[in-house]
Amino acid sequence: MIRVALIGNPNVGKSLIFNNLTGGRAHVGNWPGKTVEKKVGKCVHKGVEMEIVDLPGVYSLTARSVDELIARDFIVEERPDVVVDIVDASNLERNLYLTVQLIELEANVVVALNKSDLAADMGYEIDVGELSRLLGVPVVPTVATTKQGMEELKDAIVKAARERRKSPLKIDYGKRAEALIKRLEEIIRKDPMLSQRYPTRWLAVRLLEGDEDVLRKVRSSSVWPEVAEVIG
Amino acid sequence: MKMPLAMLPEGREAVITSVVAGRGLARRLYEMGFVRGERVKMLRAGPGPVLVLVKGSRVALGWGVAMKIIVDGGEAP
Amino acid sequence: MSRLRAELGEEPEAYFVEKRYELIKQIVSRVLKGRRRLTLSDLLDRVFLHRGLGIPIFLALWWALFRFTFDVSAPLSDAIDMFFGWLGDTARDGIPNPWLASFVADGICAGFGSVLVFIPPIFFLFFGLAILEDSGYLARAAFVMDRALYKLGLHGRSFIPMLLGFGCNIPGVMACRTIEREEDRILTILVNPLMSCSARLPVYVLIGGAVLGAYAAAGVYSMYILGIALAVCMALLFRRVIPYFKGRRSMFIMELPVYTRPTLRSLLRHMYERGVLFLKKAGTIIFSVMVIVWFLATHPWSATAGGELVENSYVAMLGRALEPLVRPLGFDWRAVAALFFGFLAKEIVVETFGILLGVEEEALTSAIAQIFTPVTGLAFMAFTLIYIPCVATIGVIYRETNSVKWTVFAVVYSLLLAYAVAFVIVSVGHALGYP
Repeated sequence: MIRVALIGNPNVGKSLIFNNLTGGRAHVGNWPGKTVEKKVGKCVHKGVEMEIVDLPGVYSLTARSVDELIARDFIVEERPDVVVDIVDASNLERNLYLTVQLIELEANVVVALNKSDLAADMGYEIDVGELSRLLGVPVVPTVATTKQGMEELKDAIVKAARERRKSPLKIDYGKRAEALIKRLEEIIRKDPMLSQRYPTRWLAVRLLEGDEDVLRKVRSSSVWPEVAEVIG
Repeated sequence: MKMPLAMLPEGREAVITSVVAGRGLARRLYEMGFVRGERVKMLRAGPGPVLVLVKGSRVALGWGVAMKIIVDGGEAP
Repeated sequence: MSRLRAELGEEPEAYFVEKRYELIKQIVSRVLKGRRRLTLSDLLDRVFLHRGLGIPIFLALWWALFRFTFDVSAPLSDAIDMFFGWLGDTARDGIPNPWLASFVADGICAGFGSVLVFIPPIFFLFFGLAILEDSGYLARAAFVMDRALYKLGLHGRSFIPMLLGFGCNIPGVMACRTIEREEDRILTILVNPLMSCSARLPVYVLIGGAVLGAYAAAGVYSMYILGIALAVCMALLFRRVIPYFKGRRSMFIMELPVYTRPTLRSLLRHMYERGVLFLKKAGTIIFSVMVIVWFLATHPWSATAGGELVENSYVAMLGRALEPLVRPLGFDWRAVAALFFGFLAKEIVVETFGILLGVEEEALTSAIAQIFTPVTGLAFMAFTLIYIPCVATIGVIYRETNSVKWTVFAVVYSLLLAYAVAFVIVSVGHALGYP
């Protein structure tokens, strides 16, 4: 059984895609200890069984709000087999921010480029193949309201789960920052508690950004004093 | 001419030069697209909450929030 | 961190975000062609966010939603009510054993009926709400009302839940889900029950009509105003006094989605999901409490002669036991008993008075005038407005806050507030020379 997580900005049509995939049969509850709704559903595609978790709609994974924390924790701790990032084609630039963060988190990403019809109405033309090539992840155009692209999306999910390819996309943060990142990565690798649980580059960048949740996690590590030295 | 985004006249476009807010709010604004060098357009001006176009999406900002984003409105009035 | 700032040339938070966006801009420039055209959404926003018309348009749409919900659902609710009444009567006639007959008719059937009677309004309300939400309009409404609400200590997003509360507090509390910050969400949930729901109206009409004479309509109207005023005061008070609620409110940043035509599929889905949730959680509570109340009202079985003589039942005993507490307010044991039943569902208060006074509907008004004066009547109306939300609402509050602490707090503070306000009304009334 493949474990799939659905994520995306608010209002991108995530619920609709969730319903399209799970046929509307979902188990609704709350995320433990929170008042945020948790939906889990099942889907069977060409003999493959998938469990689909609907993560809260978020703009980023900086884990400042409850929603972001839930989403990020799920991806980092539960390590779903595939993360479907639903991107609003009519609002590409802002939506890709989350995509890029997911790739940095080394999640196994499949992008569903939703609202393709709306983008076209707005006068946009998107080169899907090129986008996929540049991001380093599969991109499937969808129109959730008419269920267009759903079969292709399911195919892509199954394929991604099988191949487990990591996107080669890497953001160049500039010479100075990259040097700091490299140093932090070396330090992090000394503590297997950290390096085995989290992607080292992601952790390093987050530390430099001052991500509170990450700082908390690293503070309890043996290498904290060295880390603190670097980030000041 | 530099001014807080809150004061940008309706229909005008400007470029963001800085964000003067606490960590949490600043980060949220950045992630929504309000980064340095980004163009924004005032769709509905105040007083009260404003509606701006940024990175292709419509974002509503409270007056207080809009006061914390400094933009360069281009030509002087 | 300031060392980092020096290294990178700017605040770290900004730096990394900008770098990501730089890359994204590059990607987008290679992948996206075309220019943004003026869309229907832009034009609609010119209307809905219009400086002068925005609020009136919202109020009009809101009123339409209300009317739609209650006009369409009322006949269905009545039908369900009648059905269970008929079912109860049939059971009563058909079952030889009087105890069992009463249990089935007045306990189970009445219990089921009281839950199911909620279904039409709840489902229709959720359907209408889903239309406003899915179309993208609701975000505009929050935008338009944000400024006014900020000054009152509430969040722009509190507006919709508060307005819903006037129909029924249950969807009102559930609608608080759209409020991001947990603290703001819980605050809105706590003051929501002060919005006078439609179930309380029969009580106002009965009491007001009986004792306020010419001022009956004004009295009823004042209850709604009182509710709003108290909600605002409580919101401001809680913010100031309870540390949990202190601190900066979530800054208003909200993306306005493009307007979309909601699909019937997703509308029905929303309606179904929320409606079923309500039934499951709140429904079980209402049902079980109804059975318990049936028990208390008909036992000790022999003393009440099979439920006929309510004065001898446990409820009456409870009423009499609590009477000293409410005597300063001018209430008698029947009022307490009625309030106790009102805990289940506020509509029941009227029926309870009928049973306890042993009169039919027509004579009820004059009977009420016997046990209330204008001042104590007004106090009772206020008490009904404020005191603990009905069981169903409590069930939903528990579900939405996921916390026993806050649910208990909601119950306790509303009881205390109700008592205090009723007391003030009575004291002022007496001081002014009224009985």
